[in-house]
Amino acid sequence: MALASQGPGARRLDPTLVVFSLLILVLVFLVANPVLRLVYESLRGDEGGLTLSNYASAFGRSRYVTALWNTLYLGITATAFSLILALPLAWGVSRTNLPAKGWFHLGVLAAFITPPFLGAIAWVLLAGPNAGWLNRGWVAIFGGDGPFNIFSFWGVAVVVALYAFPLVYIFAKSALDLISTELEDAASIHGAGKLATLRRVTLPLILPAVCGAAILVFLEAIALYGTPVLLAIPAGLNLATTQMAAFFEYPVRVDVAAAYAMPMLATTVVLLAVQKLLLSRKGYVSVSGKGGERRPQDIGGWKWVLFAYAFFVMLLTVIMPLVMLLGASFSRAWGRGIAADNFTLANFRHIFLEQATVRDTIVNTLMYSAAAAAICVVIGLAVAYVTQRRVLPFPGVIQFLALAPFAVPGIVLAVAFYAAYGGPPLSLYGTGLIIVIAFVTRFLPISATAATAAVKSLNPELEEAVRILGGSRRMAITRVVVPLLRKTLLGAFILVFVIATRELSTAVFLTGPNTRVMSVLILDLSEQGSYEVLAAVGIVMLAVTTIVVAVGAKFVGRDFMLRRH
Amino acid sequence: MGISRRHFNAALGASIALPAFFARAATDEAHLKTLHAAAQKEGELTWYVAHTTSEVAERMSQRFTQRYPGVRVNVVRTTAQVAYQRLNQDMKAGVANCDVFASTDLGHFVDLKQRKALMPYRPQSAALLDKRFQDIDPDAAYNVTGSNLISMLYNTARVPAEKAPRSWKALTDPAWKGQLSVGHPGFSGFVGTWLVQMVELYGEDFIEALAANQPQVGRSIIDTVTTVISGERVASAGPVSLALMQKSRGNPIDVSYVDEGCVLMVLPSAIMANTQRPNAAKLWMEWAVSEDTARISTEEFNSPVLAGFPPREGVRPLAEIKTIQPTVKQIIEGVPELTEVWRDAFGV
Repeated sequence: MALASQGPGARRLDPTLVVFSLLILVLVFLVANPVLRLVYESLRGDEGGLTLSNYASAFGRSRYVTALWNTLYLGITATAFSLILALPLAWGVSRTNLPAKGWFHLGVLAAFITPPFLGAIAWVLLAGPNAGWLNRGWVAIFGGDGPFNIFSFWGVAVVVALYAFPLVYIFAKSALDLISTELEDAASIHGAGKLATLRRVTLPLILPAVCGAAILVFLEAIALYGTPVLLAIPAGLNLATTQMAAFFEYPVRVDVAAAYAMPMLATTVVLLAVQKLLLSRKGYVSVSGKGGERRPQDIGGWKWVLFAYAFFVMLLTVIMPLVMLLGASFSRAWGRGIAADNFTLANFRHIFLEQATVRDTIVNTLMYSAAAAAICVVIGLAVAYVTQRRVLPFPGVIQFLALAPFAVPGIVLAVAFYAAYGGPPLSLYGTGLIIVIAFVTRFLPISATAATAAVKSLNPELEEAVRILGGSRRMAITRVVVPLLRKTLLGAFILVFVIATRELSTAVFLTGPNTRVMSVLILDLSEQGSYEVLAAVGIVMLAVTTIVVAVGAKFVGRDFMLRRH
Repeated sequence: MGISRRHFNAALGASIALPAFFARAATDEAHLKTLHAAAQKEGELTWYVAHTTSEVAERMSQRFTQRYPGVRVNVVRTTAQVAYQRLNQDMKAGVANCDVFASTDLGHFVDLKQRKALMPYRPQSAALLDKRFQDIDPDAAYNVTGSNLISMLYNTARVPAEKAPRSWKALTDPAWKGQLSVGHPGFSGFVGTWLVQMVELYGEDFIEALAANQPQVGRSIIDTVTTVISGERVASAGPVSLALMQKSRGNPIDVSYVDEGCVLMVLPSAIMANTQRPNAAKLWMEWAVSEDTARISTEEFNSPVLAGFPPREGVRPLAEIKTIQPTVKQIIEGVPELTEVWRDAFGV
């Protein structure tokens, strides 16, 4: 408003342009600051000046290089698993008459709000080669040795995928929700079977969303810290993040760690280029001025096959791990399993009544995550709009800046944040602000990806219509773009909010005594070996996040998850 | 400022000279009163701590303030590596956030002392320590305020007490192949120190033989307790106090005190040279070895470092446990080198 009434100059100077430019400046500052510092550190010699010796140290040992390859394989495998888990579910829930689809949708959400580290702990209890309940069950029935080993490459890849696949699901489903049935009808009228329609029409239309989500999953998989530490070390599998942690041991070699992080940054660049190549010269517009009807497709008997598959996925991601955690949270001694004399409410009493820290930690987590999510959505929308509609120059660079933070392992990013904001002149260490800044920077890629996919699907004609009729760009954005994308933006908010509540690797470094968050508390508890309390805290955290997400979704818009039936 | 500096130097000189006469004597109450009065003017201190869990650290800070009203403690609890990284960032930025530094990694103290970043101070209460903890640094740049023990732990549901491993050699004994668990020296200072002691006892071949025996390698030494309780592996080299705490809750775990001796971990604390609250920091160092802290230590199933203080039921007093420990020099030189050997042998 204030910008619009700035006098005669405002006429020529589009006020939205000013806002966009400011937001992009914030983006440049948030991302360029730590990332450039990282690049600089990697090239800095001990005596000042530039050197490549850090790179020599970082890649001079075969073990270090092996870790990078392992990480690459893990990223690819976990992404593939995620797609396999997510796509049938997303399609089933969004486009078919899959039974109990609302429950499956909630189930995916439950998997999503589970911190990967918490899930990994549950899976150790489930699939530990000797003591895991799955293996014990197998041995009891079939004898011999248990077939599952969580401490292996495949174990790590599966567990990573189990808590990353909801990203693909959410992106794919929101894209599927936008496709009108008429497009599919057109295909079948022209003689295409159901499978051909799926392959030639539906799937290609959601390619941008799936592509973006797959990249996010890949980047999350290669930068994850908690799960590798818990599962990969016992597996004898060296990964980039565990190797990175080694560079932070005494004597700390930040410069070498920075050099070591460069291939991951380069990977992001390559992935973005590949994405561009894949998506170029095709139209993905599925939202236009015309309404379009969306109704579920009857897939006949296949719906039970899909139902069984979806149930299997739920079993792996939610039901079995949750049973493990619930069991431990009500136990006096988790090692004794479920027994009447082992039952207690003491762990919950402990965290609710005896420990002020847990309550403070919950409040901190919700506050920081919500603040970060709100900022992320605003900047993300700006990035998407600016790059898709080419409002500002260098859209490629802006796009890269928005995605780059995801490729830098949290542990490294945390050091950069601490260096950039911890000491004077800002001295933000120990405040909640530094955590919010870190979360915003780290999760911008998610909101930017979500917003970009959404803007891509929006036909520019809608905005052009506003402009032709004399409306300003601001009007086009506030009255057309935002309302049309409201659900996507709300989805992005919840997405970032949830991911922020799960965040561990940066938080562990930046939280101070009064700014601790849940994930750090859970890590602390696992370091102390108190798994009964840890499980209770985990359950409470899941419950609180679920309630907040549900209330938020109900409050802002009607049921963000179940679009139309 | 000048006066307080001179006063402080005089006090420092006196406190270094005193122990010779006051050895084994109780801490001088007048000295504590003077420190308390001066510390009240400073009002607070910031404690970077890796020794304990957050909860215990908070409890300690509260009890300190109860004992010495008017002196608040800001607890910054992290892992040792993070604490050290943070401290270095502070020093680079020229800010004196930290007053008392309590890492679990001896290397940090040796390094800081070399850089003259520590203020030597010999607390009078140091004379009350068990002999094994006295004079760890001849210049008193850092002093022991806590300890821990590593021994063999075993799952009581899977291994009868008489079959439990009584020697560190079990770790390399093929009879135990695939059944044991250890921590990783690259992720845990405790494991690093323990490994140095193992190599002292059995030579560097110990690491190869251990790797060949396929133990499950956890991140920290705590994981070895978890692994044994779950039954994933039946025995491990792990921390005694946590095992005893878990045992008291009913978890199927117990300690086997090994014949060669349990490995003793020393946990020092130090005052930073650039502290703006030297009196509060000194008061803290005095209090760190006291009945207050010994009591907290027993609550955590530790054997107190305060000589003669009785541990809780089910925990052996230190005096009755055979212990072995590497020297500071051995740890400083050994840990980085042996960690590399370890990583080559285990692949991680």
